[in-house]
Amino acid sequence: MRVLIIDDSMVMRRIVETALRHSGVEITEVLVARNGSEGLAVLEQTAAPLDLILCDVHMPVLDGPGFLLEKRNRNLAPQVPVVMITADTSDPHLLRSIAAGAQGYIAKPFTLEQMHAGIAPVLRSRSQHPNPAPLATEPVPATIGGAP
Amino acid sequence: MDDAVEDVFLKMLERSCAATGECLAIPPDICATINLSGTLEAECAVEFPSTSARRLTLALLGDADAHWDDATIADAVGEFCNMVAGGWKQRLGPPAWQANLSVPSISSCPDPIAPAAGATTLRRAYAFDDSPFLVSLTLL
Repeated sequence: MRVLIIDDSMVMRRIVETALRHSGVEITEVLVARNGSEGLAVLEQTAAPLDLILCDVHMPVLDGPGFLLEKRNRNLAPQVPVVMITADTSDPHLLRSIAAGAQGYIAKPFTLEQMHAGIAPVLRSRSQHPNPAPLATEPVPATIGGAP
Repeated sequence: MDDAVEDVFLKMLERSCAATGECLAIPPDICATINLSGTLEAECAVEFPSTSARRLTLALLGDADAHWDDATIADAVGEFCNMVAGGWKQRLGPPAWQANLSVPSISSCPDPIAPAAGATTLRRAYAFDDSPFLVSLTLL
């Protein structure tokens, strides 16, 4: 599985990558970006298709919701699911991310099992529907952690 | 607050930490602060002596042979503060849990200042792997 991790925190990028590699999912390549703008550049430049994008909500330059909107506007990797990672599950920006096309979120702090639980349904759904129609309504989030 | 701190340690660091009182025996060297605004006006701050901050970074990132630079350690402390603030806010229930979180502000710890009039501060010292740190929550 090829994954893009978008987070302005190097510490979180490493934690997320480590959690992914230990969560039972086979990872072949991890790409990283420090903000939504760099994330878009990765999507434009990478030749091989991605399988998953894990994205922080609050980032400088271009935040999570902004990345999702721009990704959709430019029709970049439309079949690649995006799962948000956030310490604030009541953040309106998280809701904006879901409205903009994120398939779910993972609440920080998370265990390895919670990481797996957060991404497994998204990947399973993608394997069953490899070419989904663009989401027109709010998707059901893969909620874990202390979500209200 | 104890639950929010413990949650971070148990889930992300896979170890426990214990509350040890209200003060640090060692002066802190690095602090991270997050402001809450909107439905709750508050401040969440964490203070770490440098040794504790390095051990926190090691616990978060692994790799005992790595030498983490100051920026990485600051990043780790900021992320820890972010998770404590978010976890604490969620446990408050509505409407407080809808308060906005700022990005962490990292600094070397200033001299203690008197809290603003009317502010209420809860301070708790903790320790993990013999590494002390302090968390304070101030309702403004």
